[in-house]
Amino acid sequence: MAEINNFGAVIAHALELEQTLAALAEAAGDEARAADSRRRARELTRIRQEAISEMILEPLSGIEEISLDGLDPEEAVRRIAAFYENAAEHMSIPDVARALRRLARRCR
Amino acid sequence: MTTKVPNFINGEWVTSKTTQWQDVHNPATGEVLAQVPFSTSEEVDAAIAAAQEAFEDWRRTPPLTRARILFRFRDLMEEHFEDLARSVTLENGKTLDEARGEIRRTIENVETAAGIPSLMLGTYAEDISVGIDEEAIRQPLGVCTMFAPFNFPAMVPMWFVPYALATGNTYVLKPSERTPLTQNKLAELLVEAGVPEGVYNIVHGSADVARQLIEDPRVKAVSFVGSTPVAKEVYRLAAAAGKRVQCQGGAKNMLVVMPDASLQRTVPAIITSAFGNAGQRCLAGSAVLAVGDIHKPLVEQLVERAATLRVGNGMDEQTQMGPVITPQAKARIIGYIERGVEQGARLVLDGRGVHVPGGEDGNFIGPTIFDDVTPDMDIAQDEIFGPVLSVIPVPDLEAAIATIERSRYGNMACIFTDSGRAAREFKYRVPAGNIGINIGVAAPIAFFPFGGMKDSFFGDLHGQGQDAVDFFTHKKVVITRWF
Repeated sequence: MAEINNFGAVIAHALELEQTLAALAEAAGDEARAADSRRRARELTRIRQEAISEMILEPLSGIEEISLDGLDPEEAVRRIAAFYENAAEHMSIPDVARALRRLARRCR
Repeated sequence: MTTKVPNFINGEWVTSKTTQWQDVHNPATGEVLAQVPFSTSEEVDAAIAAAQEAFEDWRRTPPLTRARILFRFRDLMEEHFEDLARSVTLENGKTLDEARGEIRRTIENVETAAGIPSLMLGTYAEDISVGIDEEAIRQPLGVCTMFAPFNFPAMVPMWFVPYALATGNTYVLKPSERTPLTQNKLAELLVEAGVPEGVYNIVHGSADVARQLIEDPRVKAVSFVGSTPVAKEVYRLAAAAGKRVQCQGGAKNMLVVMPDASLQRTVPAIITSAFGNAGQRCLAGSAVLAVGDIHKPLVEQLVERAATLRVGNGMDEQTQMGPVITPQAKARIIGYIERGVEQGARLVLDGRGVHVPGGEDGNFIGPTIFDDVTPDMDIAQDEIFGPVLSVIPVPDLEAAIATIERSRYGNMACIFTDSGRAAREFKYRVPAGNIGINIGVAAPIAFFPFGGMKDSFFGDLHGQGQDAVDFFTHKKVVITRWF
């Protein structure tokens, strides 16, 4: 999978993942998990809007895109949590790193 | 048919009657987005008259009421956040992340100005002599104006506008003719927020519009952000006309890297500073002063990181650097790269041949780095306003500070070091309005003044925060004795 090098791309990829997870969970009849995913997506939108600063937009490295292909909702949410943890570790904006760790904790 | 950008005068969107229109291009594709008018003298006059007419009622509007309008304006900007960011990217070319960062800073200025009931408080002293009291009160100036640059189409006007309106002034804004679209969107939101007719006006155009605004006796204050030659001229004309004036000019910002600096943290900060906004910002780091032994590993890592930056259309989330504003700007920047080579600098990363798939009509230049630059070269002295970084080796901190002192500009200077002593010395001595310590873009937050010295600033009061409140108000002293 491709490397993600900037803040906006991290958030955009995370939003795609949450959208995929919500669809998977709905298809599996797991409404609670789908609702959790949508809540995290709203939080991601808030982060994109509020935690950004044009003076700290340093290029990122060490963050890879992930795929949820072939996973069931439970596996998918674990994979997403790992993505948040990894992205937080490589994020140069401290507010965003904290928020991503929070999202990882909220994955269930 | 191409959209014609309207003026906003006395609460109405009006299509200019001018015969002179200029295309507004998407810098990433060359596509014509709209046409902007070089408005007529009558239209400028109508905007000033509307602002003058609205002034008396607006200044009598309680500051709390004015603040409520700003709060609503702020909420509307949050609601339209992505739309505004995309508008900035579309007309300016910067990446979506950069545009989002710009909108965030725009909002922060409105939030700060919304504190006007406290910011505008006066002072009072009893018994300055027996039975005599003295107070100082703040009053608005009247009609104010601002001429905006292209590089921050949303944010830079908002270093001034919210403070001017909050303090009870009325306004005529002339946006950049290259990036006029986002300000019109913001004006729509301001109207929705409840700003009364005539209080805020936009007249599009070029130098003639600006000149008329400066010369009109009804206009009391002028703000400008742009290049140094124009800043000087605006300052000269406005001062001669007896106006209150503040003009921010160009920059040649130098970043000092000490031998003890952490390259792991420093290199990404320099990359952002030099190549963010494609180098088109007055806080772009455009020269690195590499002190002592750090020179060689620093250059190697800068080149390695800069070479991997993804250049492209800012609308693509993966893009890390967008185009420059116009083909003319691109040609000028390339001219500087050629001069750098001619004058003997070592071109270690050449962005001239960058290929952007689908961007054949865009104004793209890749990150460019020169090494072994000397302070007398044009690329070390002039503001290039593009993605070109010059590395100047210097033996020690003294030599670095001396090089900064010799620059005609004084907008920003940064130092990367682990030494508190070196950082303090730097902060104490360097003649620049904005100092960064282990920060690559020392951009003051909304409640601090946006500094500038030497040929980077003409005036005394800056934009943003309390300075802006001071700029947009008279301080009237009242001395009272009751018999």
